[in-house]
Amino acid sequence: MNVETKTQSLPPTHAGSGLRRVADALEHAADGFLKQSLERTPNAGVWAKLYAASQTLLSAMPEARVAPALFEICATLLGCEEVAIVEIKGEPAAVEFLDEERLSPDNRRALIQNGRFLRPMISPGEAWIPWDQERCYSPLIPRRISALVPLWKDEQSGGAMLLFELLPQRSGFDAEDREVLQLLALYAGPCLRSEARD
Amino acid sequence: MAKKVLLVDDSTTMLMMEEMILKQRTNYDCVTAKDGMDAISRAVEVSPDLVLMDVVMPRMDGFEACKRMRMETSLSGVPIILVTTRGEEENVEAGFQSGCSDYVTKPINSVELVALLQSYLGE
Repeated sequence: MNVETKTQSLPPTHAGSGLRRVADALEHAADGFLKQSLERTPNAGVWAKLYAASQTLLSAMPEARVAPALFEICATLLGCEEVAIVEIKGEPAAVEFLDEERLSPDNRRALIQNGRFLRPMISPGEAWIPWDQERCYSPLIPRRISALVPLWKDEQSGGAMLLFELLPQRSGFDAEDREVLQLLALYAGPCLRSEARD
Repeated sequence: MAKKVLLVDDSTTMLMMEEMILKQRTNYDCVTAKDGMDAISRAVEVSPDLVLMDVVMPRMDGFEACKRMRMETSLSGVPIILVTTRGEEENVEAGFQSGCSDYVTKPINSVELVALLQSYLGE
């Protein structure tokens, strides 16, 4: 099976439907990952990662610890320890930091100065990886960001998780990483928002 | 009898992933511990055939746990593989000074991990 297609069959998430509904959808996905994982397919490593990521999010939701869970997933599964969760608001675009992990002052400054470039990069359900892009929205941001995970997008605002420099032993994201990023693009936003509401 | 692997990490995400990879690809039995101190008592209790242990953990880090395991007669010959976040030389050197047998860097590659464990334990 093509690794790239693994998360495409996930059930849709419903941003306005509350903690239980998001948890049900994620639990359904995790069950699927577990079943696939135990079938000992050749690329079983990716199922293990997807299962670990989804279970980490699931167990964080009732404790309202989704952001720390996301940071843990980024560090342990993706090799990125510098992460920011932001919201881009208003016109002109202003960056609000909702949570962060090991964000350097330089990158914080760069985000504040270039927030307007982030909004077009937020495409719901789809992670943005700079080195996949033919056209960069900003000469500054793509050089610093390893990936942007969309969390939500409204008319006047957009939420995103930004992954900065990868650990030195990593030269980029492989197919397994992309599946984890895709999972986060589908579920991280609804998990965070339902946690905030419930 | 199945070989026993002690997995040590304060991250449940990491433990879950390691355990699942080993379940999928090997016949090893897995036992888990959440920090260095817990690891030592679990190791004495279950006599693992190999220890796969994170370095940065609360209460007792992987280097210290590795040193202490080497002082236990029953564990002195058990292969200990450290999981490091950064592959820089000083960390690797500190790991070998603490008595580890090998190391892997995060994020873990499932194929490489299984190959490394099999090189110590066989299939």
